[in-house]
Order: sequence, then structure tokens, then C-alpha cells
Amino acid sequence: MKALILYANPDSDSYSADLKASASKGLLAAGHDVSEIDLYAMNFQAAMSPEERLRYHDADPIVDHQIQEQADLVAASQILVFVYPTWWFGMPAVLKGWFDRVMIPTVAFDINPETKLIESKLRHVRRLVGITTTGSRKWQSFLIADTGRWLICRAMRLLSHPNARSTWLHFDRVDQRSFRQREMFLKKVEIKLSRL
Amino acid sequence: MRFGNTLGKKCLVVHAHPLPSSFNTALRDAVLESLSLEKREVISIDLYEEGFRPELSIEEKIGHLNPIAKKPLINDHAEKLQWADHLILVHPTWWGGAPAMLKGWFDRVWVNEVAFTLPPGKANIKGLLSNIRRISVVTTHGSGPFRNRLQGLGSKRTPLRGLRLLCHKRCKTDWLAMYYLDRSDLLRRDEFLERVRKRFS
Repeated sequence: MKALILYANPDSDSYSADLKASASKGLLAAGHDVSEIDLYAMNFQAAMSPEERLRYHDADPIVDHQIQEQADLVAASQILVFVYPTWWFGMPAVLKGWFDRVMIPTVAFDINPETKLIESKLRHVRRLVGITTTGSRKWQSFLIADTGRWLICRAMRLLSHPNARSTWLHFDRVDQRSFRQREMFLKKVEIKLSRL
Repeated sequence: MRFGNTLGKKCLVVHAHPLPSSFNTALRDAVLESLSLEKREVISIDLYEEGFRPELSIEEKIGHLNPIAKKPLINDHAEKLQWADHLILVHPTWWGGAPAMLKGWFDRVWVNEVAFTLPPGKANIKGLLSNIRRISVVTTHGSGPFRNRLQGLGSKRTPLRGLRLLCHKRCKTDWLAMYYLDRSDLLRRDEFLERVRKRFS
């Protein structure tokens, strides 16, 4: 299958970068075709522009070729992998902005003009994976807000193929973990992604 | 008296919507108008208008433990945040949460030494915004409450449960949401505008 990794972390020396590398290794080991989008490296603009908002409900809402490229990559992929550090109980703004600007009508869904109901355009997606780190503990994410998980494993999952599966790999208390624990989690990511 | 007059005296209104002609901007204007009816100080931040950059940069990421004096880019926002006793967020809900513009404001302004400190040797985070005694969210959803729940209720939970932890111990919260904006008529929009006006006056 074709896999697309979306990665959002400004620091290329971060643990997230290692997680992305492990994810990629796992996917390649399973024989998938892997493409990567590094949102910070490509200087992705997080904020939806006024023009994009104006054309959001038009038949052709894509205003620039960068968004078109991303949309084409999503359309060609059966596996979507999101790798990011959790900030403020959610995705970094740049990844949230990717949802706002790329997962738009005609790409992720269509809004039926009569019933106003959402019709998915992501039925080709078979696997969804979220890989994230938090400073807080898992129960804190659960009680306060876990927006990344809900977005990937629920909202996106429902737009995907009816038999699609989602995998959530969450490394909590990242600031207090030992080197060995970090290495073990990297290994876990690699193994999980080689057996999707 | 659920809607008793418990509004703050120093209100910070933060708005994020790309279009000045939008219903959301009208909501922001209604909030400002209602707040100005009584004697109180109001500061309004329009993130799109001032061209706020929502992406946390590599320098900010690496220097996130630095004291506030070393963060000149967000000083202005930080001062306003530490001044306010009532924070009001006005924004549309996209993909279950605040637009990236506002999420970026959380990422870049609610940082170490502004919103919290991390005492050495402890895993506990200590909030610094005890000046904020109320957080209100005014938001609109294109779809209904069910879809919003599936998307994780980010626009509600992130500020009202998450950010709230760093504010005053008994910080109050408000949640004013309009659903099904995509299929709303003028009447329902006016109703919601009226509800917002009433709440903030």
C-alpha cells in the first residue's frame, strides 16, 4: 500500500524526528511505498487565508499548487501516519492548519448541496496511525482533552474505508523517560508499523 | 442566576477568522459592543488582522525555557494575557477545534514563564495566570453536536479544561456554541447574536 507520513516538529534533533524515522523504517520493512511530508521543512503556512475561506464551499476550493500537491498525495495513499508532539492537548498549529487547509471539500469530503450532509472522499484510506508524545500523563490527556486522538482515530476514521483500522501510539511523560524507555518505544513504533 | 453579572473588569477578546465580513466577526463585534456598555477595560486582539504567525519556530522551541525577557516576539501578547481577568475567545470550530491561527496563539503565547513555570526537580507544572478568573468561548460549528463530539470537543475542552488549569483556582467558564451554521437561516443567526449580546452585557 502507499503510505503518507505527516510530520510536524520544528526541531530536526527532536525525539519526534526519531519517531518518524522508526515509523518510516517499519512501513518500508512491510513493503509499503512511503512518502513523507515535513510541514516545517516545507514552510507550510498554518493559517487558512481569506481567499481560501471565501472559496471553501466553491466547486474548486484549492487556490495554490502546494495544497493541490498535498491533496494528490492524500488521494493516492491508503495509509496515513501522523507524527507530532502534543502541545496544549492537541496538534501543533501547523498540523491543525494542514487539516484546516488541505482536508477541505472536494479533497476529504463533499457537502451534499441538498441535504447538507457530509459525503466522504477518503474511502480509499485503510489505515490511520497517530504517533505522539506528551509531557502530561495519559489519564490527564483522557480527562482534559485528547483532540489529536479523536481527530485521527474517530473523525478521520469515520471518513475512511468502512474496514479501516486506526492505531494510536502515545508516549506520555516524555520529559521524564529514560534513554532505554525511549529506545523501547521507538522499537515498538517500528514493529507496530511493520504489522499494520 | 446562571447568567449573573460576573463578567470581568479587564476583558481580553481574542478573535480568529480570516474574513472581516463573516458571521464570526459579527459575533466578535457584538461581544465588544456589549462589553463597552458598562465601564470596563477591553482589549481586543484580532489575530488575522495583525498578521499573527501561528507556527512555533525552531528558536522558540529550543528556547522555550528562557525567561520572558528573551521572548520579544510575544511580549506584547503575554502582557495582555497577564493583565486580563476575563479571557474571551471568539472563533469558528474547524475539525473539532480552534483554527490553526488560534491554536498557534496557544502554542506561542501560553508558554513557560508566561502561563506557567516548571519548578526544577518536579513533574508538576505551576500556573502563572491566576489573574484570569473567567474564560468564555463563543464559537460556531458548521455541523452538529454529534460530529463535534466525534472530533473530540477540542474547542470546548482545550480552553475550558486545559488552559483553565493555569488560571485562577476557581476560574469560571462559559461555552456559547451555535451548531449547524452551514444550514442556518437569518433568524437562527440573529437569535444566537442576541444570546451573545445578552451574555456579555
